[in-house]
Amino acid sequence: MKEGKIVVYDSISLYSRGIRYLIFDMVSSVWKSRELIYRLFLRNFVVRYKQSLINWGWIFLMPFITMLTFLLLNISGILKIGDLKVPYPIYGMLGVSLWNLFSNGLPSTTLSVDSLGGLIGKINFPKSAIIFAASGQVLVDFYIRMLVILPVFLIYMRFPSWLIILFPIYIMPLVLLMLGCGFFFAIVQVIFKDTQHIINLGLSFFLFLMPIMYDMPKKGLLVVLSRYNPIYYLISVPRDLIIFGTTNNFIPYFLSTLISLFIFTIGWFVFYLSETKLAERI
Amino acid sequence: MNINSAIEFENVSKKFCIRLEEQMWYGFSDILRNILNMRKTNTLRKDEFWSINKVNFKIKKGESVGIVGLNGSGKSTTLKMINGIFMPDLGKISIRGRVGALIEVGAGFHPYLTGKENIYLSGAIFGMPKKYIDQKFDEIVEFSEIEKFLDMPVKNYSSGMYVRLGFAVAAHMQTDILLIDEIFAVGDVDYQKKCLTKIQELKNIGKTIVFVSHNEKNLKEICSKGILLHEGKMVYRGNIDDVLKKYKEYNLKN
Repeated sequence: MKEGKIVVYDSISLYSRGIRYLIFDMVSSVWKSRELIYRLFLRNFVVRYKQSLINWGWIFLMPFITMLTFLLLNISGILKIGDLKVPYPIYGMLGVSLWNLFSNGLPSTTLSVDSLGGLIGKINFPKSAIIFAASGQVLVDFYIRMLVILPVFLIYMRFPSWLIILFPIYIMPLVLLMLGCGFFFAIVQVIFKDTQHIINLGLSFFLFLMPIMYDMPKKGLLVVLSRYNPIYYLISVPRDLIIFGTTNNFIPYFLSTLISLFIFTIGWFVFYLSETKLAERI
Repeated sequence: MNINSAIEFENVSKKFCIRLEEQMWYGFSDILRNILNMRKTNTLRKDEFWSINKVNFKIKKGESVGIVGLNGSGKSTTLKMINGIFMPDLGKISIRGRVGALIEVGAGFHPYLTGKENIYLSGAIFGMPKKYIDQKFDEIVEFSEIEKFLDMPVKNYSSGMYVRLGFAVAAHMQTDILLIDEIFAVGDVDYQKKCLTKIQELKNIGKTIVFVSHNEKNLKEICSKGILLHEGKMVYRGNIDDVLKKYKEYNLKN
């Protein structure tokens, strides 16, 4: 902004400026604040494991324990993992790592704006930067976990498909879906503090509803539910691509990608429109 | 907008809610109405009041203006509206130039990060590009007198070092208009002196300054003009001395 540029704040609806202007402004404000996004991300990242005994070990330990839990449930006969074509640790670790992209990303984006409330009420900066910064954490976690999963493949004398090198691309729909929901819930969290608890409850229930940690059952309610669950495809197809290099679910994956793009765009836009209202409610 | 103006308020009003429970639902409905492009409610709902009520003023480029008033008269709200944090419910605010807020000392500082890391973090929150911070880095360090402690987490800083560093980062914003809200309350006499000198410096290079304070001495030192707010209304404006005189009258009445 150069000197002489005039900014006007009034009570007239944002829409009167035209949808095209709004979208342009929405995208350019994030582009302009890329430095801020990086700094906020770095702040979360550097600080997270300070004063912790095993430090980065947590990044590996979390999915490992989840995988172990399901293995135990299987052994004790509570839950049937089913017949898999790959050793369970490979299947389970990949599944839970992908799931964590969503299940860790959603609570952290939801809380991100609310927890910076003091700052938002005092300094004017693009709030969407906070959401993007919060999602950086889970992405980095995932990349690090992929490095651990490779030796697991080797232990079982297997090789991932060559498509593994493209994983940063085909996990994006899942990340965008998480961001879209995160934008939405971050606003709601600012107003209703119950949101975070509802999300945590919902997420732990949701994992059992999808055949992510076990094989798709032959019949029953879960089969029907999973068929219409975009998150299931956004997780299982990337896993198929990493393990086998191919999948039976290309079309549902493609449709789920469209849904996630749609939710991401709407979520971001709703957040952008509400940004100025958030400071007043914190 | 007048060519000489830096800030113009035209019939600006802003309402707030007294109770948290209603505020929650009002917030929900306001955001929903905003998204659905519905008309705003211009009247007061239950438990709402006008925090700023039909305020009009113009601040010229390069002017330094003190905003004075009792607690709850709307001073901070006015600053936040100039800063674009709060939008007016009625009326129009026009701003020419970039606005920076010296409101929070150590904005965005994280206690576990080092002084150096925090300079870049806080700078980014204030909208400074990395290159610009690189340029100003030595100046910031010099002002805050923390050369030796740059790589120490700021949680181990003395409170004096902390506020000096916080102020130094904020004072180096690239702005045309500077908003200052009771920033001296946190430090010792030395720090206050340093801040005042720095603000005088910024004033002398032509920045517009809007200053909120209860401290008569500081107000007189920095500002030439003043605005007196009372219960959300602008009741007087003029030279800072006259404004402070009127302010005393209001002080006695209440």
